[in-house]
Amino acid sequence: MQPTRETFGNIPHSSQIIFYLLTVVTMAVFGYGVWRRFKMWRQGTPVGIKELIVGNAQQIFAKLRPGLGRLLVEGLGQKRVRGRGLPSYAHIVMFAGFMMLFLGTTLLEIDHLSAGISDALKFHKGTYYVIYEFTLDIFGLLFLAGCIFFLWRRTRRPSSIGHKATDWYVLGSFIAIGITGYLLEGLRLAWQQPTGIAAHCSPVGFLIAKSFSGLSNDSARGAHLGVWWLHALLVFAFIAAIPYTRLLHMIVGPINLFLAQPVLGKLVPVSMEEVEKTERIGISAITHFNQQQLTSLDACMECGRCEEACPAFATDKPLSPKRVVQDLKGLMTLSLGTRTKTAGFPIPGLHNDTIRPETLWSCTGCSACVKVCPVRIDPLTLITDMRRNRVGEGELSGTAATALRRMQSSSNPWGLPAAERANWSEELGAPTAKDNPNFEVLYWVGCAGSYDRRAQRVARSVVKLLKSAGVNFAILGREEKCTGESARRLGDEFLFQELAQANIATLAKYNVRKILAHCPHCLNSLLKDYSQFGGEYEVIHHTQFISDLIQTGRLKIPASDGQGNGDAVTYHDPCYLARVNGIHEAPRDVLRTALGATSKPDFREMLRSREKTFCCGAGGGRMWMEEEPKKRVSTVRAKEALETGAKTVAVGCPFCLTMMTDGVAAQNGEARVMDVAELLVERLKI
Amino acid sequence: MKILVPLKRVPDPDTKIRIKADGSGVDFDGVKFAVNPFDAIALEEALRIKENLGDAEIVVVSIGNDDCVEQLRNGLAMGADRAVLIKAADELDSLAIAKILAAVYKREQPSFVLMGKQAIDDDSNQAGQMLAALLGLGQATFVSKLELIENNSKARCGRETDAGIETVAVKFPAIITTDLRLNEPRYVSLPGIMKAKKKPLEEIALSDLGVSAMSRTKILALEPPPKRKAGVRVKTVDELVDKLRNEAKII
Repeated sequence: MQPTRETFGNIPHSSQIIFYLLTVVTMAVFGYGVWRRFKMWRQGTPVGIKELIVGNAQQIFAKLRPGLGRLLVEGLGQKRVRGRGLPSYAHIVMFAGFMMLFLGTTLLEIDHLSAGISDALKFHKGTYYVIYEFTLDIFGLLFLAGCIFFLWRRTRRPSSIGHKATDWYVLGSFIAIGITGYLLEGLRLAWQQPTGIAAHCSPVGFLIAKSFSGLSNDSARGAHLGVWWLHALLVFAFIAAIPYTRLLHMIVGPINLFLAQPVLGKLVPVSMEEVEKTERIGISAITHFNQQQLTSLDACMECGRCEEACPAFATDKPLSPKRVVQDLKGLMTLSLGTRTKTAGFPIPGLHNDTIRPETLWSCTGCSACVKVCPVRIDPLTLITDMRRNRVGEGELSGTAATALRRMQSSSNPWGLPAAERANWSEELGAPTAKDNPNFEVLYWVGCAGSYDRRAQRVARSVVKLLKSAGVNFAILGREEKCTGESARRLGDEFLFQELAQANIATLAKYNVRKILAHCPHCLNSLLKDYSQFGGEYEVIHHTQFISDLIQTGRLKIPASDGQGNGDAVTYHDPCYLARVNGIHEAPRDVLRTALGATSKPDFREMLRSREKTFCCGAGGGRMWMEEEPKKRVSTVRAKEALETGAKTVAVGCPFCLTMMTDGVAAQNGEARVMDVAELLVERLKI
Repeated sequence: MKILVPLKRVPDPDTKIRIKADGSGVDFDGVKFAVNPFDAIALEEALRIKENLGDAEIVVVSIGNDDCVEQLRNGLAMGADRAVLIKAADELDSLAIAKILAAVYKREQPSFVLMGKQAIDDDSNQAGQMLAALLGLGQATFVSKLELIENNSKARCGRETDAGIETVAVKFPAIITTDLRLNEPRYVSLPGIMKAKKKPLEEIALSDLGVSAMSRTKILALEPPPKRKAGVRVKTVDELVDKLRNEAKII
């Protein structure tokens, strides 16, 4: 006889009927719960989901492909779940177990239905059955192991993780489902009494069955029916509870992975026509978010990774990305939910009531929260969209407001005369595009390089290196204006657009295609912001360009003479370089060359480096805001740098240069903070 | 409650001012203009008073040519309720301005006037005081802290003086002039200015106001301050003392 088991074996017909009736009820409760949330998401501004299925099959596939790819790799593959040590593995193990059990149950039902049509269609037997039983037995253990780990972790209450009473139910019922499943198997084996492979292919059940060996066949059958019902009811309750508990992320997580905007450092433009039509800018009510953004709120299961990565939260600012998402979710439920009309209390507003302005202004735009979210929720865009409204409503004041005013009047945030923009280059004689129209690459100096005395030294170093390598380059000189990056991240979209359009016109005048920038903020803006307004350029960081000059031999590097000072050096990755644009090896390459003079270069990595870097505190327009000295982001980061024992902290961003210098000084540290280019110039003695 | 806030159009504070070659005046070619920062502080304070009280009318007024509309729109975008432009010739001295403002005051009958302590172009620091004298009203100048008291019938003002903060109470109606540290004015973005275009802006000819404002002062010539000479680096304290004693003759 082939190894197999009867589906609904030992289950009376009446029980089966009730089982199917309950299935219908469960699915109805589940469906209503999801539909209830779906109705809320739909009240956001449309994102053109229907357009995804317009066109021929090939076009549709091309449109769906990126999202489907994310579903496969990041959903089923759990790619973004990784990176948090043990809990990541526990989730992957639990997820694998769950998916296998889910798949198994689905296959069993298919087999049951097809066997109902004809006995010949039954496939739940033989070798398939053996593999099936064995696989499910093992994956069930994985599922239980994951659940037990998470239950244990919850008892320890890590602060970044959300806690609700229903969490105990969810994990408890998962474990109960697993245990009753194994009991059921044991009892089934106890009354069915299969032999050979049919018994041993369920090792866990087999062990349990052994302990039931004293039971009579009838009592085994009775107990089996009882446990079967318990197991079934637990499963029904779990399915019905999905949309009403944290389990909702099982449904909405994948939806958000599919719909999310995957590129870091990109914001959605707003046009003046839109503002005139809607008579508002940015987000001032929950329905102003788009449908994908509202959906993403429900994908959050409060794992707290964003909070752990957030530099504002780490320095006691009133901002946690998780809190922002959860508070917005709460507002969505309150104001768009089915019970809104009968709530009997006034619905709170978005600004001030739900999200405080200090929360919005605390964000450094470092993108760490976006990068670590397993389901691609984007708190940064939520925050920037709300900032746009606050700026539009005149809610910004203080030093950041002054910087914006100055960008408007002087085209740079320092408010220094536009006519003096190229003064830094006078002694070196950097050619302007006007004087040297046939340049190979345009050097975008940026406001810091042009006006900040410290950053001017970086700009001079870059020019020295370019000249030494015989690069045919040009600067825009007085014709360059602030990119408007800070303005855009602060929420002043139209000041940004004004500056961007002026710069794009200037760049077009000189037919610029390739731009070299030493400022990652300028780089990101020229690359990702400007392309939204017709400015398409190849933009590279100075460390990439210099690294290239070294590798191609254009920049002559003398052989090591062992004369370097031998001090330990560390490198701070700028967020907008390493995390947002994935540039982290070129600066290290150049740094290695710069340190090459010493016989034993002592390069030390910080704990948080490359794409996991920790912000210096200057992004998102925070460069222009005051921060309490004791709780500065820069102090935290500078401490990490000093803890490596480095005597030189290398950076690749003028904002980081300022912040890290301040941070080191705040701790009376003795390390000097230098741009990578400056260190190379030091080595080359040019 | 009604608050009158005069706004003066001045060169942007971040602009480097150039004097015309013949010294006859400032070269405004390519210069951007802004609301006098002290006036912006006054308007910000008025807006905060309005936000606190829940209700108040804020009227901004500017005196000059059509260009001043830009600054009035800015004031409306910050949150003022309506604007008045008194059309007048460009060059008016503080007394002339005070007389015009007195006429506007009589027309508007505000609860009080909040204005900058001085304008950053001529730095006269006179219009507020003269206005109070012309109207026979109380005044609190250089105010860096402002609080409405006694059922909003008076203001308790902290004044910045050389000796420290002097606190005075002034009964409404009154003229209050604002100092730098009173507040930080809110930022106005482009959509805010667009939205403010719908707010009322009234233009009044000087003659309709019944004032004959004539400047009694005349600018004869302007000249830039002399360029700073390069400093000298001394090697020792003794050398410094010697230079201070024998060259600078100050010790």
